[in-house]
Amino acid sequence: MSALFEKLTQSKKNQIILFIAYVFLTGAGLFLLPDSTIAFLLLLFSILILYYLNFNLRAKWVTGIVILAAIVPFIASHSDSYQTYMEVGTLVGIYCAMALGLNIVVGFAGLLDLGFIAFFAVGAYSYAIFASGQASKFMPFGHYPLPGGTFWIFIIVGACVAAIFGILLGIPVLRVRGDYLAIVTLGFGEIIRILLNNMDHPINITNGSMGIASITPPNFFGISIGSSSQFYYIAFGIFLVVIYVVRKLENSKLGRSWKAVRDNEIAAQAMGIPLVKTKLAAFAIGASFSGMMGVVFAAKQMFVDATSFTYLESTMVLVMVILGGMGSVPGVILGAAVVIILRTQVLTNISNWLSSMSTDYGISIPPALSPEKMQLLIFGLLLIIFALYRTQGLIPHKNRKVDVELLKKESEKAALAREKATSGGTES
Amino acid sequence: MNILEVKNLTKQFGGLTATSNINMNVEKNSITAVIGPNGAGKTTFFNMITAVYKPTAGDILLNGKSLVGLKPHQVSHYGITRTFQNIRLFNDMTVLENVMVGMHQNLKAHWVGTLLQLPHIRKMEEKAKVEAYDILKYVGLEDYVNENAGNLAYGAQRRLEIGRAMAAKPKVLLLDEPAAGMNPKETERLTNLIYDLRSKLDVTIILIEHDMKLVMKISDFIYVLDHGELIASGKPDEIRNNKRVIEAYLGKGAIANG
Ligand SMILES: Nc1ncnc2c1ncn2[C@@H]1O[C@H](COP(=O)(O)OP(=O)(O)OP(=O)(O)O)[C@@H](O)[C@H]1O
Ligand SMILES: [Mg+2]
Repeated sequence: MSALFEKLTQSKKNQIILFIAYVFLTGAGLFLLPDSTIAFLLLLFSILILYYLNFNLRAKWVTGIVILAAIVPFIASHSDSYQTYMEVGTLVGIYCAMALGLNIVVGFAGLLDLGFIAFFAVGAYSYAIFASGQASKFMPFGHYPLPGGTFWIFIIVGACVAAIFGILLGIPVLRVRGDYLAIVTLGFGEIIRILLNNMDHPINITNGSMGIASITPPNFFGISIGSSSQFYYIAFGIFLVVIYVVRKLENSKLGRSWKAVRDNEIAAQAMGIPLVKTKLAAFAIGASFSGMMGVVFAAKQMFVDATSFTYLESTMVLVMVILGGMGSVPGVILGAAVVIILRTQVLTNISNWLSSMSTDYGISIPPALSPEKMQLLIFGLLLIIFALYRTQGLIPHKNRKVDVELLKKESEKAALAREKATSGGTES
Repeated sequence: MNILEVKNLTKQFGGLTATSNINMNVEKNSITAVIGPNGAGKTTFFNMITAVYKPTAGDILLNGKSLVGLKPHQVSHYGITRTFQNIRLFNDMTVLENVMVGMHQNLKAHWVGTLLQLPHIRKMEEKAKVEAYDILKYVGLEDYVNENAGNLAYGAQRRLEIGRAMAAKPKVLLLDEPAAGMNPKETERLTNLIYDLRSKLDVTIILIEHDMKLVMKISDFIYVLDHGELIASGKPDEIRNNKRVIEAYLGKGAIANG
């Protein structure tokens, strides 16, 4: 059986046919079955399959984008749970970008950060304050709320503000290492949350524990964006930008500097890498991804308060990175998707199923024990299991390999050119 | 001409004096050896030059400019790189990447330019890869380009460290026990490599080494440390027959008994 399967998947043509068949089947399932969460998840799973197929890279990207930007939304739009699916998709996009940001700090630069959600909060509040009446309570000039068209600018603003907070966190944190680093960042996350929760006096900036309500929805050339299916595209777009940035940086001078600092600080310095600058760049760039998505989150929810940015959320993002594979970009994306889907789909479905069981059969399960409420326990167990049996995560990080044959050729060519130059020099 | 001058260099760790009042003049393009028994203060000496430790007293001058008070990465930018006694590679990066990190200070690639895919930055990266490959060929690691540095055998790791340090195009190269743990064949290869380095790259080499055969063969000048003090300095022949040096290595009375 497995031999047959191997034979089938060996040739590229067969791979393409099987892949299309898979997408078609799961798509049809989603289309035909009412409320078919499983078909929806299986359709999303096609992206992971795509990752493992051996097409060329560009074809994979195009296929993936077509599936996520056209096929999934189109089929899902025929379902009653359209908005629910797109809500999940939006959340996955938001958390993927955040996890990729944290991955720069933890996976590339090797700096543990337990307060990462703070940057998300900072981004969310920067839009919330100015896109609601809140800003008029302390700003001496300007008319608030700002119109929905400013949302697009605020994505950049959110990134910048978060980056500045990243640097603010970075400066004191650079003096400490290891366990201390974890504690300081944890403290930072909590400080931001508590500040946001209490900055309603003496000047009312964040409206304290009441939160900020009636945030203006984004406006795209006159269209007001309010539904999850629309936010899905915004989140997806930013996610693509983030992925581009991460992929480019990973194999650049800066990316190598991060990894060098992670692997050996003393040697990195001896090779001329400035520690402080390099680490701050990791904090700032990682934080900026979170900040952007914070703006999206605030606009989507139309309401923010500090309860969305608890320590649990920081842990969740860290779980995504560790579960997926520290330093591994595809791994971290998978990790984020798995955690979000577990949280929003699987656990709630199991909870619903259990409660229907208990009404049908009279078995009573106390609500405190429902899987939804046991998230911390479940994710804690997951972390322990991964720490024990698969420390490298779901998709372990692999260094990019260079084409040695090509290098060899280039090197010979360069040597020849040098020779010519010197012999030419002596002749003349 | 002296490229590096060390004046009254002293380092104390609490009550322990690791090096005391060391003076040294290193001639440009020479190979200088620093030898001495275990715990003599040799590595501490290197650590002060590369700003890993701040000297308690004294001065270090590179081409007449003081290096004291600089950060380690600044010293590297001034033109001094090193290898480590206890190998310090970037273990989870590939062999090629390790060398490329060595080249970083000569790569002017801002990350914003990288994101914008500026053509000159892409070209520079490609050129750097070829150059790194050339260095790997030079130190005999061209078959391990894509291997993780942590997976290399011991001798290969030492050579990679030298390659990485070379990649920075230093004026002064410090090698801390480069032959440690190598078999005679590898040591011979290393000896040739160091010779070749000096003539090809126009670099000044200072090495700490316990392998006396290597030291005597390779060095133009030798400094001997014992208990943190400079007890002798001179050409290999002078050091070979120096009474204090023999005493330091074999213990007092060795000569009388022998
Ligand atoms: N960071 C430090 N803190 C305290 N003592 C130190 C420190 N570094 C070195 N020493 C001490 O300084 C002395 C000199 O050490 P050093 O490592 O320089 O010796 P070495 O000549 O390199 O010896 P070896 O040949 O064994 O490498 C030793 O007694 C050592 O214990
Ligand atoms: Mg030593």
